[in-house]
Amino acid sequence: MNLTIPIELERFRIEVREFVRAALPTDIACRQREGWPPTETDLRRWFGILAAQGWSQPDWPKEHGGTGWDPLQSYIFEDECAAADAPHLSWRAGSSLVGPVIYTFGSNAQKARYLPKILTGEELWCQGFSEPNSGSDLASLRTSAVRDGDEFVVNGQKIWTSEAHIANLIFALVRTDRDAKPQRGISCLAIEIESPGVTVRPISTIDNGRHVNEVFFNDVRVPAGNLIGELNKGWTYAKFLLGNERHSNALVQRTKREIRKLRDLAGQTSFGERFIDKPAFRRSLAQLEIDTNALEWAVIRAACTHGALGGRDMAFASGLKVVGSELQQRVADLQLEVLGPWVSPEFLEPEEGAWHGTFRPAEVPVDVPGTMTKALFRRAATIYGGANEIQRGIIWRSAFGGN
Amino acid sequence: MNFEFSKDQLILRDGIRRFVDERYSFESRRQRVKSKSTGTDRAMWAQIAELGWLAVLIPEEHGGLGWSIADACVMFQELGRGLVSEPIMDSALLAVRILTRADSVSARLLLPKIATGEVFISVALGEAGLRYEQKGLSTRAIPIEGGYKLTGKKILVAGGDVADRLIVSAGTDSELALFDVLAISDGVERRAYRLLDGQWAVDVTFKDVVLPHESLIIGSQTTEILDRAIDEAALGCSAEAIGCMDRVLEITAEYLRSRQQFGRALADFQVLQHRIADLFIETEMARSAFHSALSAIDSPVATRQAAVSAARVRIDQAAHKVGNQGVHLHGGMGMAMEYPIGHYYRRLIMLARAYGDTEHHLERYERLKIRA
Repeated sequence: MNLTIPIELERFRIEVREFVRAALPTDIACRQREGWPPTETDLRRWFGILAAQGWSQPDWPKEHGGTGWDPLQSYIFEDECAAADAPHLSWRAGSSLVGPVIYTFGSNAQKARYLPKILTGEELWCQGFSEPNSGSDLASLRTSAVRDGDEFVVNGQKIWTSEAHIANLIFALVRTDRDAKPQRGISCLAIEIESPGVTVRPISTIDNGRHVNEVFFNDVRVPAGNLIGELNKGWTYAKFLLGNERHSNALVQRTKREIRKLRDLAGQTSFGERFIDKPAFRRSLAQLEIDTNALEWAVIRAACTHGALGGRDMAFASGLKVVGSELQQRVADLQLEVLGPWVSPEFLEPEEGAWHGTFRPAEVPVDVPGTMTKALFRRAATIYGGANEIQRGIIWRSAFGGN
Repeated sequence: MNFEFSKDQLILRDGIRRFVDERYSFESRRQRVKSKSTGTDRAMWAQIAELGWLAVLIPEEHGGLGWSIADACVMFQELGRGLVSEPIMDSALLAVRILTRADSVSARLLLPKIATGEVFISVALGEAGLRYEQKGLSTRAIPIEGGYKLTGKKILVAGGDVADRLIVSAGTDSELALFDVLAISDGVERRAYRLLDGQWAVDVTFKDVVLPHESLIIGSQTTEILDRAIDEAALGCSAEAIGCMDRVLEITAEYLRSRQQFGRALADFQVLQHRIADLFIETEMARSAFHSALSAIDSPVATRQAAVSAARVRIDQAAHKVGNQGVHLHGGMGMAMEYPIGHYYRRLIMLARAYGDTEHHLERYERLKIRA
């Protein structure tokens, strides 16, 4: 056991910090600091900057064009990005998670075709997983792909597809065998969003945001060469992908940043008082920091023992997702507590005027609208990536050998 | 960074596990509790000394193994798992850390004898008028010709019934000091009672006890040295609580798998599976909080105190949740002394209050990190 952070890692942190602070455009950081989700243009700019530095895929090995960082370095990278108010590249998640499936299970032709464009940001991927009747019960999905000569013909519908409106490709789970056990009849297809028969329709979310979509497939013809890995092995690949996602879903670096914001908000005078002067609030803040610190060390432990935890590995990763999502919501809830009556007005994004109607009180603090928007979106954290109840089921099955 | 136990740590852990299996089984524990034993078992203590557990933190030049706090915590975690209820924390950690940093040479000379079990030393800090504090002690040591005169009362001194010597905190005219007091000195009166986990403790009254000059172990910067040793003991308790929680999870999950109701195992009910999942999460977050504090235990004082308090809050809350739910999930059996779960529960609620409770540590964390 050695819990000292090695000096090389401290040096690495400083290197990342200096780069991020210097390279991150001020306007992007500013928007982020106020709590607004980044615009597509901002995301593409920031991704381009990282790509030019060779840092667009911190979790990928060098041979596939990633940084080759170990998980602890990736962790530090995200920590510094969050601290500097760089946009969280959630839109990159599609690409970042699909990449490992392609380089682990895909053909050489697929690696050559897809990976370089993910790295430059030229092509973005989204994940076509959930369906209207297959949410937590993902294996029951019904979108079908029927072989017809050199093509698959795809019919069906995906829902809650993050970033489909800006993506070039969708990594879709499709049913290729109706007779097999649900998990054994699923395959993975790469489908170009521009293909005839694909329709993307936005779903507006409770934060007034544009994150998720419905994606319809109507006799979409997909070349057979777009099958990723083997036929009917899609469930294995999806589990591989979701397992990687659970590690990053804790988002503890972002929660740390939000706690700093919470402290800032609580230190400002609003409605004639400072929230930080209230003993009950200080107690809640202390408890939040204490819980977040424990999660941070759990994430660091996961990074250091990646793959070495055996049967408990899955359970531990699921635990990180549960605690991570709950803390994201708790910090948002406390921010709302500080905002008090300011939670009530409906805000729009800055480019739309940030305010409904014509009246805007001069007193409203600048970061109220963005903070509200983000807090509303945080409700998704316990739902996506496998709802927390699904994670608890995984914990029981994998750590306690139950049924 | 590396979170795995080292080879030596694994050997230590396995040795303790073997000892528990052979000589400290739950059955033997029940017999001991039932037998209305009259105090701490010095024969058991001799066995423990022979295993080297008391020597772990004693520096090599004083006849010990000279291992680190991290190593000691591996031991305490395993002792927690095995429900070994002996006053090892006070004697092998708290007393040793105090004596190692003592000004007095004669105090350090006690260390080899503690390692072998020849000298049994207890630590008398607590008072009825103070909650986890050493400021404003009512126990006083008045300088007299040739030494000091000690007056006052200490409570909850673990293992004090068989102790040969006591480390006693007292206020002198200028500041806090620590004294090494022979337990059989004139004017020392001990009243023994059993604790919830089967250990024994005493309340000690000191009535004009005359101490020679050399009994002063630490007379300057006592608060710093004592606070640090107490933080180390608080961390040791965290490790022990984690060992307890690990075992509670195992036996509770096992109980749910074996107990049949409504024609199927309790483990088939999702509501119970999810409860176990929550307890697993609590335990793992507690372990991570422990790692966090362990990494900061040798840091400058404010950093160390904040880290230890943050960890203790998280771990104590987990200990309560895991202990409470462990009993609850055992149903009626959870209330029966014949099942281990209730014994773990008793130990966990004690550990969650040893060297500071949740309120104490939350308050200290808040003072250092929120209001600062």
